[in-house]
Amino acid sequence: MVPGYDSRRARTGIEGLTKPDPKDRAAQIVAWAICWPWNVVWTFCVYNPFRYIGEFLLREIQSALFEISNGQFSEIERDLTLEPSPPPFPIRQAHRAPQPAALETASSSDERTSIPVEQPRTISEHVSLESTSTPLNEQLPETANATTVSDKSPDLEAKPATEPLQQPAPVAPSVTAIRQEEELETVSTDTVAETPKGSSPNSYSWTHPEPTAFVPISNKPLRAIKYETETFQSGKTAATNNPVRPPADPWFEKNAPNR
Amino acid sequence: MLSEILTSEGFWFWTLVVVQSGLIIWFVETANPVAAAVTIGTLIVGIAFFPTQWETVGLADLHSMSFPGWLTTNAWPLLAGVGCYFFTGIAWATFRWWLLVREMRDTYERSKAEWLAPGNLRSTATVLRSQAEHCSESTLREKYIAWSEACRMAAAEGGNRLTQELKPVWKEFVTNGSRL
Repeated sequence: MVPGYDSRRARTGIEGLTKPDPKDRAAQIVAWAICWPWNVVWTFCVYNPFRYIGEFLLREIQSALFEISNGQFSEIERDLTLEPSPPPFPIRQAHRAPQPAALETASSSDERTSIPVEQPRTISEHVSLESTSTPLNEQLPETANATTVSDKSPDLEAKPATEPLQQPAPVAPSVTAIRQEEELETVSTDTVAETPKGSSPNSYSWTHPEPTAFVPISNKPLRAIKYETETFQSGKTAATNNPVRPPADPWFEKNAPNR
Repeated sequence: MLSEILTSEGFWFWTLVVVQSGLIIWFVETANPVAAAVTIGTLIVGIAFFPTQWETVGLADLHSMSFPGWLTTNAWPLLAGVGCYFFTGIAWATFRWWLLVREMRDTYERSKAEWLAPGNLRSTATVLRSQAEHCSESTLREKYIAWSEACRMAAAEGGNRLTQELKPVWKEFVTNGSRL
């Protein structure tokens, strides 16, 4: 028997209900198997299993029919969906220090709330436009932007794919955009978490940023990119204590420093 | 009329079948497979005492041959029948297990819906509040007050939804039931 559970009480209440274990109810199951003709009669007369059988069959048939509909109409729905499909990787903006470009443009952010679609855009404009909840005064700089890419973000995956974006679909990238995209891809990803000046690594508290919309910059897999600023110092102290030896330094080659 | 019935072999044969069947059902319901198997054995042996009813149960050949001879003649059909019997029994036991678990789930869902009704949540909040007033331990009192507030808020919002705040109260109810 299941510990703390009396099967006869299950019809009247759920007190002490636990998940039934077949090992604990082996005697009952063997009795069912040995005396099945009598148990069939008793079960169908007393327990009325038809309601469960009917519900089960109805649910199974419904799911099978829905699968058939989904399988046949998947391409048709894709054709008739007007919203742009999300890119393979979501992008969220990382916490970063205020950039000079952003500070300069913060005052005139209201003027840039509506950018004409025909106007050539840069990568940073794409990011700003596609961010649904981020105000435009957080415009990314023209250089490599601090964007953090996560392959599977649960917050962003929770958003339905059909959620309409607040901004129009991105236009074809201009030459500037392509050039900046190449710059983004050439930035090294071997960076570690940064701590502000005057604080220890333990005092660095990172909070989960608010999820933003999908930003279809390109179809290529995106990478996490960080950039150096004046207000932050690198948290990779080992790298600063052990500088990389220049490859063609004669002093290092002769192993005679301070000569 | 009554004496004819009581002296007829058929009456006692079917009485034996009915009584033994009742015993088998009782033993199955009380999860006693040994007693149920013994009862089935006694039922089969008891049939031997009613030769006039052998034709009824498909054993008419026993009139013309001995029991060992009948066993030898019908060995393979008997083995196949026993195998099919137990195979069907295993299939039935699997279905019966599904039925039992499904019934438990149905009971749980029904009790949960009744418990999450706004009126029941309000009464639960009242009970918890009175328990908190009569509780001397501060930690337990705070817990009861928090639960009472959660039930009251859930009832005010319409109930019928198991929120995160209500889950510990519901778990306590499932564990201890009416003693909550």
